[in-house]
Amino acid sequence: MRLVTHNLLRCNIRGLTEEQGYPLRIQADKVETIPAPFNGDLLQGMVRKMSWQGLQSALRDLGVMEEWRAMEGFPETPSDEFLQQLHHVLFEVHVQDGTLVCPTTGRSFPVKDGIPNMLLHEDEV
Amino acid sequence: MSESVVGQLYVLQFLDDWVDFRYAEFLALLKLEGFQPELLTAYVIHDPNGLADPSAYVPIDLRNPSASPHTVASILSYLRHNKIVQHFLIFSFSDEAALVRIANRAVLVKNIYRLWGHEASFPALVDAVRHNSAELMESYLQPENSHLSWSVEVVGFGRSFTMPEKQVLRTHFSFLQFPGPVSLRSPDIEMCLLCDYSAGSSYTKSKEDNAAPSVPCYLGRRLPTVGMRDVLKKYSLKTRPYLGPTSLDDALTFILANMVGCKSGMVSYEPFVGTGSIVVALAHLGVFCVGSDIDPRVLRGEMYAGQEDTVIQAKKKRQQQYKELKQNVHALIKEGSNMPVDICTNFRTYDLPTPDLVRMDAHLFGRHFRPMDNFFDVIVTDPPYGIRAGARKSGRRDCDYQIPADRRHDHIPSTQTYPVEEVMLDLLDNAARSLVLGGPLVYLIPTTYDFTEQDLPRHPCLALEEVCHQELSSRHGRRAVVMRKTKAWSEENHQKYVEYKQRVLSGEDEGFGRLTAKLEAALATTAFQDDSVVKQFSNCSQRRRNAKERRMEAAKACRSESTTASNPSAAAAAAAGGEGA
Repeated sequence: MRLVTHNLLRCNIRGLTEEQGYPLRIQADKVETIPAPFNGDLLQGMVRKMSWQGLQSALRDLGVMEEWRAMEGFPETPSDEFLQQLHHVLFEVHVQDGTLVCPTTGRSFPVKDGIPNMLLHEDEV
Repeated sequence: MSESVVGQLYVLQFLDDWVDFRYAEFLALLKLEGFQPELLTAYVIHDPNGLADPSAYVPIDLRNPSASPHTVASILSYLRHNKIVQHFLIFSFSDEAALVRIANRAVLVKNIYRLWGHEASFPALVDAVRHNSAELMESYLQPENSHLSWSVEVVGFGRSFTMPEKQVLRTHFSFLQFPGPVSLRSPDIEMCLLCDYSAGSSYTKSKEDNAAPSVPCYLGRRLPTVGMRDVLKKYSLKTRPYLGPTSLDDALTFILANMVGCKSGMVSYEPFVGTGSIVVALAHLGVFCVGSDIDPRVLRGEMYAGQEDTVIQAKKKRQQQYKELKQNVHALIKEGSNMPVDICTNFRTYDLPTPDLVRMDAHLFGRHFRPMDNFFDVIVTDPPYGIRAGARKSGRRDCDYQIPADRRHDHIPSTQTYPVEEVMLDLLDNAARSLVLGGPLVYLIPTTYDFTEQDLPRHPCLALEEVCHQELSSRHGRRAVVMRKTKAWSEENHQKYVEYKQRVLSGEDEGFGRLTAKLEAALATTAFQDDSVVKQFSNCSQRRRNAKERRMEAAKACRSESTTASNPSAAAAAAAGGEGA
């Protein structure tokens, strides 16, 4: 699971409002870095579409990109260096094994071999 | 290399397969390159059996090529609407490099030629080309081009010529005096003489006709395109490491990707990713894919229906190599036998980036993602329609219990059947929510032969753009449906969708709501005898059916005659009728 997908995922338990259950906390047991080719158009689109709050939470949980802690949001005109770093954290960092934890209910979703299992038990649907 | 003052016309030859998809794919790729099909002048080709209106044919004058009232868009829509199959298209185009790019990406474009002449018969073509030969040949006779190798290929489309016959035809064009050497292998200038016998069966095959064909003929210079042949060979399902029973045909995945204009840098979503067959095509084109599925077996690789032989042979070959290198055989054989084969094996084998996969329930899409309108650029998917694989969603209808806390960690969640109508309607709503404005959705849906557009599901935010048909059996086929998000998602639009969904699921809807019932009737085992099921047969199977009917009727007549009294002449007539069938 790359951080780009984590940025989208939300806890899907019945009864939560749209703002709750996001962003999921990451407890990573195994993290891998797999190089990927840089695509400028894709990254520019990501700057517009990514949630900064979700990204910051993920980076904090993984303990990377300390220098972005102080930033309030995506820069208005991102520099090439910023895009390269963004490419690295969004597309090259893979959480292979671990757990995603809902910040509202504490429900944990396991991640195994890079695939998070978001399926609810029948009494939570 | 311009053929100087004569008009820049091209003739495109389509692949003789996936016929209903060819125009949609070509138009989409034209638009992807930034061209508008409504502004490209096109020519109705000389084909007395093809188009109903002979006055639609405008003789092509290479010296005055703009004199045609038709455009690529108008001709292709005329052909589609009247269900006319035509393998060639002549049009005017200014950017040869863009055409090469389009041809290299289109599955259904076989060749594109720069047109040097097109006439109703071979002798007329020779005269027309001779008339223009000075202008056509001008740049090739320049000193800087005198080294270029050349060849003239002769192709009968719907007829095969022998080598001597080809040479006779070729000789008529010997006035085209290319200065360079002849090269048959990979010439710089690849001229092609095409004689088009596809238009009708009225052309008699004879030696005289082969010497001077009375069919429409083209002379053109073939553009140096490589097409998708090598790409399709690489991704062929026949050699794919991980397959499932519903992995989509590799050619169709690329056709679908082309129909919606996928390009590098886009982000796509596949709500029924399964074995990832569609994602392979998208990843090849540089699209980043997020895929989800509710079934862990298909994601983890336990549903393996692929090449046992290739995997076992690959393992054996690896073991052999290790033995030969005298490595630690035991450790490495163990590694080979533990090698997992799952959805990511395909991407590693093909050296493509893996998609991000999530195990989730597409029915609860809205709850899985943060509120995100305008995220995905494109959605390409093949939903489970319940014919070969059913769909499931999470939860239980009658769940009135709580799972005890100490059992929760390894509880396997129950799932329930996910009715097909709900699958399709949820898909449309998910697409309407998460696509960018103007973004396309393409999906496959099985249909019967009395299909109309009313049979398709609808959504207030999505407009129907394209429907292409693939025949599967005499009683059903499937259609690829392209829809585009034309309105932003809003509570008001969502409310209309909810009301429509209610009508469909309660059986009140007359369009999409009836489709499942029609399909069930068409695919029932008794459907062959059922006259209410609309059937379609190919020409040769229709002839066989007629022959069988005649035989059965003759046998019945014979039996009824013999039960009453023996009537020799009737019996003889019946027997003769039976043998003649």
